[in-house]
This record gives sequence, C-alpha cells and structure tokens, in this order.
Amino acid sequence: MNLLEVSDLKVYYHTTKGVVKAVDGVNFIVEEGTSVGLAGESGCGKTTLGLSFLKLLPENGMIEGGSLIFEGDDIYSLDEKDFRVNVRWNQISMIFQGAMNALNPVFKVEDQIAEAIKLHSTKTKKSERLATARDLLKRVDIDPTMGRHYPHEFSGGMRQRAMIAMALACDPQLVIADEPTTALDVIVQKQLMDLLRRLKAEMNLSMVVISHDISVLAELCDYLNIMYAGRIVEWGGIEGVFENPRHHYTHGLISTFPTVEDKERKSTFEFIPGAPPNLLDPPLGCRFHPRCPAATEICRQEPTPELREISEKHYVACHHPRGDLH
Amino acid sequence: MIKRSKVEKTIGLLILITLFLPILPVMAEDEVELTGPWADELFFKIYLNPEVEYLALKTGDINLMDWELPAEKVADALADPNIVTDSTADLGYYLIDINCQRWPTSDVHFRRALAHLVDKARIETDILQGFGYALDSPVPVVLGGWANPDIRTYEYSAALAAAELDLGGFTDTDADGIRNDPITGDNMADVLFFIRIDDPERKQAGEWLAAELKALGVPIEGELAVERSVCSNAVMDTPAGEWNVYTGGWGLGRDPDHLADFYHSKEFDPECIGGWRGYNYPGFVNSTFDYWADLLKTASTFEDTKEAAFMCQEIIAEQVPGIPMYGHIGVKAYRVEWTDLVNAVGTGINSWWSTYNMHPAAQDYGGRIEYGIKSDIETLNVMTAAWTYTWEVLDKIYESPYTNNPYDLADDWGWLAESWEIEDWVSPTGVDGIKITFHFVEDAIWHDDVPFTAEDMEFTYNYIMEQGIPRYASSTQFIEDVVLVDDYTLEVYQDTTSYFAFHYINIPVLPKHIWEDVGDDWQDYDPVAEGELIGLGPWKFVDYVAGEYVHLVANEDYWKFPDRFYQGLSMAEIGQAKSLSMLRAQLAAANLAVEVQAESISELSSQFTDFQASALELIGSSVDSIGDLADNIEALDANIGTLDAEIVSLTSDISGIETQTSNLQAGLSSASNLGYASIGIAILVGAIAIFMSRRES
Amino acid sequence: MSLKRYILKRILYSFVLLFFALTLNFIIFRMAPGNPIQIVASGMRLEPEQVERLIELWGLQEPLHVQYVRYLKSTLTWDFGYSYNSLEPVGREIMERLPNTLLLMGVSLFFAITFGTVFGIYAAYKRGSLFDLTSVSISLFSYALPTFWMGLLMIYVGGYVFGLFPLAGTMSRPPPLDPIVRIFDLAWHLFLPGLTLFLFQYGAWLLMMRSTLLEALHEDYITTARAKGVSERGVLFKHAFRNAMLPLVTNIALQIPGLLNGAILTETVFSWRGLGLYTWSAIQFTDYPVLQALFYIFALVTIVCNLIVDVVYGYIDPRIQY
Ligand SMILES: Nc1ncnc2c1ncn2[C@@H]1O[C@H](COP(=O)(O)OP(=O)(O)OP(=O)(O)O)[C@@H](O)[C@H]1O
Ligand SMILES: [Mg+2]
Repeated sequence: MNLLEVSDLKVYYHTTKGVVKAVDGVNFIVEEGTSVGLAGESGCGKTTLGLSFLKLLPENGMIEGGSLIFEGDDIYSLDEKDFRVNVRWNQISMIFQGAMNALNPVFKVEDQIAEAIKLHSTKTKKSERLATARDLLKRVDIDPTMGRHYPHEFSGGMRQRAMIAMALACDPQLVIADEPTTALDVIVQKQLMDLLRRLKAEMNLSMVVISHDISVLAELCDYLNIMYAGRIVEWGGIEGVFENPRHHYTHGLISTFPTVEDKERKSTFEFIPGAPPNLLDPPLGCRFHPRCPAATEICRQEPTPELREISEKHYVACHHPRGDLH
Repeated sequence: MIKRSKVEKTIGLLILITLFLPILPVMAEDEVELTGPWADELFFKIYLNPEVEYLALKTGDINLMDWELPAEKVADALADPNIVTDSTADLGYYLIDINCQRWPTSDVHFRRALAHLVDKARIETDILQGFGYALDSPVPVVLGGWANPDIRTYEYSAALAAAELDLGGFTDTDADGIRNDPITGDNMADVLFFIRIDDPERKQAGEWLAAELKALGVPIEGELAVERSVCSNAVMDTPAGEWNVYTGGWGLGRDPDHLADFYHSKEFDPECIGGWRGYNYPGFVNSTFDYWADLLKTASTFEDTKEAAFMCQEIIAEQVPGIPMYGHIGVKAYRVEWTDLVNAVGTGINSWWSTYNMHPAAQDYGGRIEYGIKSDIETLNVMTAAWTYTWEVLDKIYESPYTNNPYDLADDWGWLAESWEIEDWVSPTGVDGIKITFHFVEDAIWHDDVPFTAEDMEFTYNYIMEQGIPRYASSTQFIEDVVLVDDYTLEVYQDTTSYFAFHYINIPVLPKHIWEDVGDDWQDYDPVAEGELIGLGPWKFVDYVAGEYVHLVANEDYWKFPDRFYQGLSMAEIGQAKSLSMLRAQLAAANLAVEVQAESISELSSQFTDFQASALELIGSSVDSIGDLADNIEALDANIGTLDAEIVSLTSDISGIETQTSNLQAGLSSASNLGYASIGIAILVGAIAIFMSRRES
Repeated sequence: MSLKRYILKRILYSFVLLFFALTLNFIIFRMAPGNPIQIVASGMRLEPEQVERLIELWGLQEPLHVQYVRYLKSTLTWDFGYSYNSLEPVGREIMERLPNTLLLMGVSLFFAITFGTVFGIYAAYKRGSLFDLTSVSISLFSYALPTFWMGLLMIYVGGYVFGLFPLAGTMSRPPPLDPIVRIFDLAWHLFLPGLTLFLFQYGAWLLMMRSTLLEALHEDYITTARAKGVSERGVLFKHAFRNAMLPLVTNIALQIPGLLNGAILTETVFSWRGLGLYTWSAIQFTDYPVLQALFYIFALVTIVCNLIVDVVYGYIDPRIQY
C-alpha cells in the first residue's frame, strides 16, 4: 500500500511579475518502507514540492489544486491545528539543507530536539525529553553531552546529523530530506549518506530524498523521480531509470553524472544545451522541447504529454521516449 | 519692508501713543507716593519657554511677566480681557557705525553724505511701525535731560548727500556713473558694507542705505550680509578693520557716560590687545571730543557734566562717527486683577516699583504676586550673581543707599540713605576727587532683626575691594577710602570728580554680621543652603527650588513703610509669624478707639454745631464752585483738543519686537546647531566605541 | 576565553575608550574660539587684577599639560570646575539636575520600549492587517514630528485649552507638603514631557521591532520550527523574538545619544530642569566648562551603555566569541 499519494498537485507562487507555476500537476507516490528520490535542475520545483507535503510554503505560495493522501487520509482537508499537531513532524518530518541556519542559533541543540518531542507528546516530562534527545544524538553518532551546546559550536556535518536526529524525534512514518548533503565536503557527505542508509535499514524508514545531485540518489533510493519545469517527466525503479532512461532529459542528466567517488567534476548539467524554462511562462507542449534533441511538431503542441507506463513500474512523459522506434 | 498685519500696525500706533504719555514731559506722577509692599507674597515662577510663559499669563498662573511681547502676542494680549499691556522705550539704540580709520569713510564729507541718506521717517513708518522711534542723538530720549535737542541733523536728501560727496572730491570725473576717488582719480574702490541679517529691522535699514549709496554712484562690495558672530569678528575683533559701514546697536545704562566710552580715542584699541578693537571700534579720534569726553567723566556738577554731554553730542553730530537711527519700544503685560503697577522708564511695567506698589484691584492689600520669569536663577549669592533674572529676585531682597525716580532716570531719590552731600576732595597723592557723605535712616533692620547701621555699608565696600569681586569691580574702582563717622553716617572718598562716580557706588548693602563669616569663601558661598539670605528690602526670602520658583513674603517690619499692617488689618491670613506686630497694631488701634470714644462724646455736641455752621458755608461755596466747574470744563475741552492733535501728529510707525523674536530665533538656531554639534561628538564617540568594540568581538 | 575574562576585557577596553574621549574633549575645548574672560566680561568691565583672578580660577595661566592633568582630575572626581557664566561649581549643578533627567528619560524610555516592542511584535504578527498599517503610519508620523513643536502643541492643548496638565516645571509651585501628594504631583508634571519624549522614541522602537521580527521570520530556522509543528504564536514569540532581541539590545545603546538630543528639546519646552536644559543654556552662553562636563557625561553614558550591551550580549547571544 502507498504511504503517500499525491495526485495532480499544483503549487503556484504569486509574484508581482505573475504566477510562478513551480509545481504544475504532479503525481507522486511513496510506498511504505521505500525511499524515493527526486532529481532535477535547480529551480525546477523540487523544494516547493517537498515543502508542500508539510504545507510549509512561503506566504505567496498557494496549493492551487490536487490532493495528498497519507496513509489513506486526505490530509489537506484537515484543519490547520490538526495538520500542525498530527501531521507535521509526527507523521512527516523534514531534514533541511545542512547550512547553519536550519537550527535556531539562540537555543541549545538538545532543547531544540526536545521541543519537537514536547510539541507532539505533551505529557512527557522535561527530563525524559532531554534523555530522548541525547539518545537520538547518540544514534546519529554525536556525543550526547554536546547537546548542551549551541548550533554555532557544531561543525557543518554535526549540524546536519543533529538535524537528522531531530527529524527522527517523533518516529515519523515519512522523512523528507531536501538536499541533505549539499554544501558539505565529500568525506562528510559520504559519512552522512552512510548514516542515512543505516538508519533507513535499522528503522525501516520511508524517505523522500531531494537532490539535484543524482549520484546521491543513486546510493540512497529505491525509486527515482525526475522533475523538469514543475512536472515529473519520468519515474521508476532506480535501476530501471538509471540503466534505461527513457526521457531525453533523464538521459542527459544521467549520462555524465559524477559518482560519489568522483566528485571533482562538479559541473553536472552543463552539457544539456539551453537553459531551464521560465516558470512564469513555460513553453507550450512538452516543456523540454526547446532543448530536446528528438523534438518534433507534436512536442510543440498542447496538451503537454502525461506520464504513461512504458514498462513495469516505469513511467515517462514523452511523445518520443528513448528506445522507442519512431 | 517688514510685513505686519493691519491689526499689528494699529496696535503699534496705540503703543506709540501710550508710550509718549509717560516719557514726554515728566508728568506729575512723581507726586504720587509709592509705598509698599502691599501684596503678601511675591512668587517668581520660572518658565524657560517664553511661549509657555505667555500661556501662563493667559491662564492666570502668573499675574505679571518679564519679557516684551512680540507683535503678534500684542494683538492677542489686547484682545484678551484679562490682560493689561503697557509700553516703554528700551534703554538702547540702533545706529550706522562708520569706520573712521578706513578710506573713504575716514573722510567726514563721505560720512555726512551717508547721514543724509538715512531715511529715518521711512524707518519709523515702514520698519518700526509703532514699536520704536527715530532718534538723532546717541542719547535716547529715555535718558531724560541728557539729550541735546539742538544738535546738527541731517535731512534725508539724495541731493544734499551728493553735494557732500562733491564737496569731499568724490565726483564722477570720467562720467561713467561711478564716482572717482579724489586721491587716485580712478573710480572709487568698493565700500565694505556689513549688514546684520539676523535682525530684520537692521537688515532692511541697511539695505536701503546701501541702495541709496549705489544710486549716487558709490560702489559697494556685496552688502556683506552677516550674522552676529561674523560681524563681531570682522568689525570689532580683528585689527585689520576691513569694513566701512556696519549696522550696529547698543544697550545703555542710566547715565550718558557711554558717549565717552563709544568715541573717546583711548577706547580705540587698533591692535586688539584687549581682545577687540574696544568700545570705540569705529576708531573715531578727535582731540576736541576727547577733551569733552574726559570732562563728561570728571566734571563734578550736574551743569558741567550736562554741558560736556551736550558738547559730545554736538561733535558726534558734526563728525558723524556713527548715525543714530532709532530706539525700540517694548510692550509688557500683566493681569487685570492687579492694579497700581509702575511703568518705570527703561524697565517697563514689571519694574521693582510695580512689585512694591501693586495690589489686587479688589482690595488695597494682600494677595500673591505671581511673577513669571523666562530664565532660571543662576545663584542667589549677591556677590556672584550676574544674571538679569537673578537680579529680579535679589533687588527685592537687598537695598542700596539711594534709588531714582521711576519716571526720570536723572532724578535720584534718597532711600536707605535719606540724604547725602557731595564735596570736592583732594587725595593725599594730589588727585582731585569727591567725598560723599551718606546719612542713613535709623530705623532699618535686617530680615533677621539685627539693626542696620552705616557699618554694614562700610563693610560692604571694604569687603568688595579686599576680595576683588569682579561683579562690583567697576562700582568700587574709584573708591580711595571709606570712613565710618557714626552709626548712621559714612564718608566715601573717590579719586575721581565724575558726576557719575556717585552712581557707581550705589550697590546693595551686605549684612556685616553674616558676610564677615563668609570671608574668602564668597565664590562658593550658597546663602540659600546656609539659610542666610538676609536683606533689608521689602521682601523676605522664604524658599527657592532651582528651575521652579522663588518664594518671597512681604517684610512686615520694612523700615520704609512700617504702617503696612496697620492699614491692612486682614491679619487672619497672614499667620503666626506676624502675630506680634498684629497685636501691637490692634492694641494701638484699641487704645485709640477708647480715647476717641471718650473724646467723641464731648466732641459730638460741639461737632454738631460746627457741622451746622459748615453746612451753611458749604451751600455758599458750592454756588461758587459750580462757576469754577464750568471754567474747568472749558479748559478740559481745550486739553482734549491738544491731545487729539498730538495723536494725529504721532502717525509715525512702529515695530521692534519682531526683531527680537528673530534675534532669539537666530540665537536658538545657532544654539541648536551647537547642540547638534555636541550630540554629534557624543555620537561620534559612541560610534567609535561601537565600531571598535564590534571589531574587537 | 571565559565569560568573566571577556567582561573584564570589555571593562578595560571601555576605560581606554573613556580616556580617549576625555582627551578629545580636552582638545576640542582648547581649540574652541573665544576666551573665557571675554565671555565673562561681556557686560562688565574688569580691572586687570580681576581678570587675573578669573584666569587663576580656571587655571588658564598654567602650561597645557598641567591644565590637562588638572582637567583629568576635576573631571574624574566629578568636580568639573566653575561655570564661565554663573561662576558656580559645575559638579553641583549637574548633580542637582541629574535625577530629573534620569526620571524623564527613564520613564519615557521604559514606556517607549515596552509599548514599542509589544505593538511592534503584534504588528509583525498581524502583518498587512489594518492594525499593522495604522500602527506603522502612526509610528512614522510621530517619528517625523519635530519634538519642539510637539511639546508646544501638548502644552497648548493639554495645559492651556483643556487645562488638564501644568504648563511647566517639575512640581506645583509652591509644591504640596504631603510627600505622597508630592509624588502624584510629580507624576502629573511628568506626564506631558514624558509623553513628548515617549513619542520621540516610540515610533522608532515599534518600527525596529517589527522589521527585525519580520526579517527573523524569513530565516530558515523559522521554517524548521514551523515544520516541527510550532504554532504561529510560538514561532513569533519564541523563535523569532529571541533572535530579534539582539539588535534590540544594541539599539538601546545607540538610542541613548539620540535620546539626549530629544531630552534637550523636551526639557527646554517644558522648563524641565535637567541636564538637557542645562546643555541648552550652556550652549546659549558658550559656557565651556559646563559643555565640557556635559560632553564628558554624554560620552560616559555612551561608553557605559556600550559596555552594558557587550556584557548583556555575552549572556544572551551564544554566538559571541569571548
Ligand atoms: N517564495 C517564492 N516566490 C516566488 N517564486 C519562488 C518562491 N520560491 C521559489 N520560487 C520559484 O519557484 C521555482 C521553484 O523553486 P524551488 O526552490 O522549488 O526549486 P528547486 O528545484 O528546489 O531549486 P534548487 O535546486 O535551487 O533548490 C523557482 O523558479 C523559484 O524561482
Ligand atoms: Mg531546493
């Protein structure tokens, strides 16, 4: 059974220049106990999608349509307080990018973790909560006594571990990790990935991992979604997508991605000619067609191609998928 | 031209009219006996904002205020039924200063030409508009008999001015519209003309004069418009003397000796050794004038002194080291609930005499005078006090040997010294001087009940001279010796023969029994803290809270007027402190009543017959007096006619007060500039502090 | 480094700064135009002996370095010498006025911070609402109003037209005898000047509180807090406010010199006998010893405020490096 089922989700940002269609009709599934990757160029709407699961969008971001079924419940229909108390962190928690700023600089780390526990199990005692917080720190390989310190006293990697510990504080069914390793050096990245893999195995976690770095996803995920200009253009089992990418964009992404061991070549997407489209006014038809080597007249016409199952558990939104005969 | 509303102009006219009532011929008011104090208390309230002080007068928080109302407030005050206004001429005058040391103003013809170009009639009508009056002599009419009415005057006339210029050789020989210099033959160099722009009146008068000069073909450099500080630097404080004409002004004392100060050659200090060019910064050097100026300061009789003063004025009028233009008239206000105030010459309605003589209109005595003053008191130490507002308080508490007729500055009135003689005297070193013998009253007592004697006065002079107290330096500068003759007679020897020397030594008397203990400590001495603010005057000190108020009460034992509490028998309110004198008064009254009653019984019958007789007489005499009355009415009619004529003739204009407002504003703005500068420094230091501390951390 | 050592270092550092300010203050007034004798002698003519006496009184005959030591000593002992204008001891005058200024500034600062921050937080919480809009406009308006004019308006309306409050001074004249009544009397007199000085600062506090809060609300840790399920109120008051406090504390120190400026104007309008009024009259009379003393005090206040802020920062901002 699917833990999370998103259908036809639309998230638009209202700006003075117009409406930014950051997520425009996305379908997304997470099966229980699996981890699902979400990859795509910068600005394609990955973070927006992740935030919309927790309704954490900035003030000008609106969910304009679609539904989100979590464990069989339509959680978008919950009232605000219910959503806040029951869904956030309790069912779905999130690991933010590991920069300094995701933790509040003026509170001790253990207090921040304990706060998360308190918010969802009010009856616990403070000492219990602190003990749990220290336990969690230990789980992510941080000396529990460090909990008494402030975030600025932690290194980047430690902060990200603390963030992970915090994400696990309420035993959530789903953890969303948005760029969990970005901006960290390679060794730390590797350690973190090991940690996430270990935790996933130990706790049978379901995860959504967002990254523009497809190599990270290759190591962590069971399924992979490729996003382009606000839409999912391909998804399937990790091996299937990697070995046999059917969308031309996916192919472009994968063909030269660097491996974790081979990070010196940081430039990831340069080779796809052209620039990502302006989401204020995306191109008609297939949004990738201006950059697509296989584009034909049909690609330039509406409607935009929908995802279709091209082989078992492998979906692609393309008029001319790779490997198909024209 | 200074803009004033119609209302203000009308008011100006009214003021001018009321003003000349007291200052024209000294009227019969000196016959009115001024007595006091009549009020029970005198309470000074300190306001540091003049606007607020005026509001306080309107609400009745104060009954009397110290400063002159600006024109727009005069309109408001006249419309307020609770406020009474009265006007008086200021002790001071405004003039065109002329540098006699710099070409071409060193040429007397050039200076006379300037004098012909000052249109005083227009200044009166268009600038002053009732708040001032034109004058020709540096001795303004408020100084009374010292003003010389027969000096040379300069008719406003461009033609006469041109003639003077031609006479001096400043002719336009090359006919290019610019007059030529008689020495070089070239076109004249620019005349440096400094106009004070912070004073709108002087600015206007200066600009007119500059325009007239230009019209006559005299080149002027820029009409250098300047603030007070710039001008005092350029005109008065630098040896260079790079100026020709300046719009000046002076405040004066009661004596005309400023004539000598302003134009005597020894008061000119071209090297600025004393820090400035001296009182005679125009650099007028004239030996005849010096002779008369010396005489003015050394002549011992009124007649000789007056002759010297007249000669000085004549020479100034002839030689024109300055062109007197106008004096100011100020309007002051008080509440209608009070009456019998005294509009003293030079001070106005808030004079010492007012507080002394005034009383509530509804009763003859009692009440509390609430007197608004617009500044704090600096100190109540009579030895260091230098501030006008401090003296508003101190002169009510302390007394001096003599005073002067409030309506005539030249008329000295005996006070603590009932009388005096002034005799010639030659000092042991052979210097001519005078000896003044004071005869003091015998019944004066200090506020702490110690009797006053001439010893107190002797002590005062000696103390001031021994301690070298700056404030009184000029008062005692000529005293050679002080000799106590007896308890009430004191001789003061001065090594000058000046008629005014007698005025120098008129200073407040110190109580010897208090100040002999102060000794060298006069600088730090605080009589309030010591509870020793003891004087002789009509008001006794009670309490002072800095920045808030000074509280004085009537001195029930005031030597000058011991009858106060016999007349004002409302003792109930006056309290225990006064009960003794009250009892005395009541006893005397009761005794009197018994006697009178006994007498009256026998007298009543005789009185009755007397009355009959006098009634018959009265009937006869009233027939006569009806006739007299008719005559009187005729005479009165004639009087009214002349008064009307006077009113019409006084159509001259007025103004003055707006100037002071703008002076004040200019002062304020420069003050606030400095204020910002100071804050700037504090912020700078703060900023440095912050900057450095941030860098540290 | 420990917190204790940090504080010690700050104190030491403040002393160095104070010394610097002291010296600057000395130099500025040595360079200022005009000589005291001229200032004092305006209006009276002095004999040479008298001039000498005055020169001695202010020690002007001594060489500069001796004057400097004298100045240091008199400043550090709060003696400050004698006024050019009144010849009174400046230290005594200052001590007399200090309480009034502290009262006026303290009360208005307290209310300005309290109301400014509370309404600032509420405006940030309700950003975009009518409340937010009106309180921001009112703040901008009161912030821009000239204090002098505002004070006069208050006196005119509150004191004259309605007669609710006194026109001037710190007490009724004569003051009530009962000490309890006197306290009420003082409060009654404090009301209008306090309100004026309050309005002088209030707007700045509100605007600053609001904007720092809104800025803090855009930080990533706020999203984290929201994700954790913290309520909107908790986000604002706990997570954002604690961070916004830091600039607020700095601002107190930065506001003090400006506040002195406001106090000068307010005290002058209301005849409130404090240091501000003293400054104003000293400027009028170019009374250098008084100005020198006051500048020193202003610098001292600024430095002490900075020291306090540094120390408080040491406690409330964990990021401070000792
Ligand atoms: N608050 C906002 N208002 C307007 N537009 C926004 C806002 N936040 C994001 N966007 C726009 O929405 C689009 C999607 O942004 P999003 O942050 O979801 O992309 P992303 O795929 O996560 O990119 P990255 O890899 O850089 O994190 C971008 O074009 C971005 O400019
Ligand atoms: Mg992103």
